[in-house]
Amino acid sequence: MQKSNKVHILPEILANKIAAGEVVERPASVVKELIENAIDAGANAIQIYIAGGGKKLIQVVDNGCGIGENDLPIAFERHATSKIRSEKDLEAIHSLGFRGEALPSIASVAQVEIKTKEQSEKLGLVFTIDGGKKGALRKTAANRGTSISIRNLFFNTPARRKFLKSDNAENQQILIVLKRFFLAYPDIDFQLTLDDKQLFSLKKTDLKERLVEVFGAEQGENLIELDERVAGIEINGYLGKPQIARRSRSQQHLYLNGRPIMDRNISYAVYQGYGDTLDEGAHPVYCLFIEIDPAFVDVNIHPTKMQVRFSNDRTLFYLFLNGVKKTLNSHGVLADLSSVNQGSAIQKAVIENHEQSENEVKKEFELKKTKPSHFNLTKVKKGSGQISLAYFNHHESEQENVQASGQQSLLEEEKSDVRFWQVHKKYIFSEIKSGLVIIDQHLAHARILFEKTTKLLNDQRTSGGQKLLFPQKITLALDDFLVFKDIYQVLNQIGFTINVFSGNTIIIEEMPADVKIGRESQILLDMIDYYKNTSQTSFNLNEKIAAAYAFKNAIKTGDILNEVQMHNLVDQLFACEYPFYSPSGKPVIVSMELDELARRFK
Amino acid sequence: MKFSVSRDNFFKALQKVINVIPSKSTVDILYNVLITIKNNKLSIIATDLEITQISWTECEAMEEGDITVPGKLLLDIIRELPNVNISFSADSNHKILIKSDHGEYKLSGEDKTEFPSVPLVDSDQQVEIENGLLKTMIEKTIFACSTDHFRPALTGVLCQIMENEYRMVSTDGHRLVKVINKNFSGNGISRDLIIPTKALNFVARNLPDSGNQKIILSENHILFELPDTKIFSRIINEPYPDYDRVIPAEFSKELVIDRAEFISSVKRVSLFSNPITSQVKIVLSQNSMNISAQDIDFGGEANENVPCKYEFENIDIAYNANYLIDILRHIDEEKVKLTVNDADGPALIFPENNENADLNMVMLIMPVRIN
Repeated sequence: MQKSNKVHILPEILANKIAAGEVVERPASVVKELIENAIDAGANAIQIYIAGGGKKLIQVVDNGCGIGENDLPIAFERHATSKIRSEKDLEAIHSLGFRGEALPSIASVAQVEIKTKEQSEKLGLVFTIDGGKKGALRKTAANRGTSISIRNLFFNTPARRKFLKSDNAENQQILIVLKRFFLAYPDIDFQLTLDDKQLFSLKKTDLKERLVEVFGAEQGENLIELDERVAGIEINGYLGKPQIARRSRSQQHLYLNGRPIMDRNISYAVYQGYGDTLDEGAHPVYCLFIEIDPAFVDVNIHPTKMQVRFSNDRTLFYLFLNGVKKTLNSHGVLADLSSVNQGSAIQKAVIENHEQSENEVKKEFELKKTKPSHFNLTKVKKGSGQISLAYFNHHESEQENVQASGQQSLLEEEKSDVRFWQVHKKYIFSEIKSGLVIIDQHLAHARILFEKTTKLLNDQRTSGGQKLLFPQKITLALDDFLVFKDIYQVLNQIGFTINVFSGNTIIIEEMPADVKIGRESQILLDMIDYYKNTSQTSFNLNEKIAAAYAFKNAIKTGDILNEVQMHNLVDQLFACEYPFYSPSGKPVIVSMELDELARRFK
Repeated sequence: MKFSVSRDNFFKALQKVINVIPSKSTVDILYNVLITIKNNKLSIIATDLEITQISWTECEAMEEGDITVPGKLLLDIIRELPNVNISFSADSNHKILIKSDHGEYKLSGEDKTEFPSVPLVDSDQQVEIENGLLKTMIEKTIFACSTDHFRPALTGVLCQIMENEYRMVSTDGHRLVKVINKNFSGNGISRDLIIPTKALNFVARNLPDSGNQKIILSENHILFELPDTKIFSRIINEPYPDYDRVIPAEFSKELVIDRAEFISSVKRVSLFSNPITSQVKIVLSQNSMNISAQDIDFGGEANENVPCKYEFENIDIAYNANYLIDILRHIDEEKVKLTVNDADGPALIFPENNENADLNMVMLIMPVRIN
């Protein structure tokens, strides 16, 4: 009997067809790939033609850089890409496409014609590929850029073609994809023609205008701008007021470094940020952009690139949660009396002592919008130092059951005692209703000092410094001295008084009042080092010095804290704008649900 | 080793040294006390390597010897016994048997060889100080010491033995206390030494109110010979800052104020100061002092007026309220005098009748820059 090889390598065309199953699910995914290519080619005007729900024709015409004669046939090879060259590039993906799978996959299941011209060339090129079979390369007259048309998608894979929905349903999917691009690139002209009818003709503009054009004029007035940046992460964009919330999530747009993504964690954070302003089953409208160092994100986990993995999703969660709350607060959306009532002891005092009317309190609240209103850390008795971790309960119980009223747990928690335990001279443990919270003492204190100091610097205030009985004379290394010259004015603002004695020798005459005695010169050198070692871009000068000061002056791991000190620390932490992460973006608080604990004991 | 002793004597002796035992140590033997029986005398030694304290009492010795015993456990047993005779014995395997009318207690000890030896303080450098004055001087100075080990010199009190006076000085770099005892003779000795605050604390606790006490100084140690106990301490061999240079000799402004009124006013106002900086502002004008505080972060505010005697131009100064309260608490007289040149320089605070007293006392406080 003749032996037959059971295992063999697939022919390339077949392999492409199979890969197409992953990349090219439906016409909308073809549209997405083609537009990404157009954008990566540097186009600033893109025309899209769709016919028959994209099953008949998808054509994308751009004015980008075009494809050269030598590159064109290779562009349809698998893993052919101009966007990354080495493994290293994968760590820092800035372009939209990169896998080199789209064109060959599409070409294996459709009839493709591509017409392209580089600016420097006189004549353009036309090239066809039919179900993976390459045609001839011809010269032709063409405009600058690339026009690619995809006809009869899935003509050679009838099984898949059968799974496509009606023209209308496919058109809707295409629109969803297109809207994402419309919003992400307000600086690109887009034209969409659907079955010979021009649906959109968007001119280059700014995001707000583009949002109005895409969402509709009436919604434009109900958009609130959001702009948050912390620790190298930047979020900006617009939130819709609760009154324009939708029943579906179709108007939720999230972009990561320009790439549209879906992220349940973030979408949940935004939802939480709206608190109870939303009706049951309503979903907020938003269009938000995240700018983050590509090194912190893995975008290569799914072929459609819609899902990404953040190295620090907890931080992002709280950044969005707090950013949304703060933005809504500052526009009066969340600033109702009830949230003031549950606010800090000071806000309580404002109400009790001055008996201001609701409106005045609201105004006061607006003025103090940097004060936390939603961290319902309430002093039960003034001066007793007794605080309740109600915020956690509020938040956690909502996470368990969105419909449950956070109010209830709040009131209950106010009556109960909160205890703290210090573990390994490093972490503070506390019990909350739904489980356990763990706070890193050093990071928590760093956050407190960072916010105090940045606030001081941003308000142009100067903090009083404690005069030293024995001024400290230090001779700095030349590079340290240069850094010192850069920063000493800001240092003087936060309570130092440092004068140059002669040459590189300086004299510390005053220190911020909260610096531990005896650490004067050490803390200055530490701050200079920290300043030198942080990258130039991550903070502005004030924030950088505030961060240096915060990290270097904060309670250290290994410092023993008593119960009162822990109370104070947690109290102050929750008076912060962003209690949940340190100035460098590390989480300050970690919580563990009872369920999770229970699971561990199984 | 075997002896019997009355519970009260044993307990008293043990209690004297027990606080020297460190609460945390990497050297386990330091949790023990060394018990020695010699010539019908029972002596107990505890040490944390920096401070060593010995106490002793009469006993009835059946067999001389020594053993180390877990100190806190021993104290806990003895404390709970009524005043009966206790019999204590240890065998060659360091098994200890304590017997009383109530029963028997067995525990394990360790050999003496493991225990650090008592420092040898054999010196003819000896001075005597009156007990009451020494106690007061210790109490007035140790509060202002630094607790930070980055500058070890400031964690102790500087004791200056001079021909005709004895001084104690403490500072943490923000405030300073200088107390001078002029009723003193240095026996021809002139020496500066820094004594750890912990040792002075033990000394103050064991000092009787009257009489004189002998202090013996060696190269690296100081020995206080007290009734029924001796305290040895290492001397901090670090240079002390030139404190006299920073105490201004002349002042342009002087204030006299009721101490009790001043202190309670500062206490009340400081409740409204920023909890981290505890900054209070003092405005002096003709026979009036205004004390105020403000917490920008949380919005609290307070101010009070206190009558005083002041006949100079107006001045605004700010201080850390805790430092101010600390200093005022350590002055005993009804009225205090405060002298100052300007808002940037130190203020001196003393009892109003400083010159006539046995002890001459100066307290210095550095201001906080006003924004």
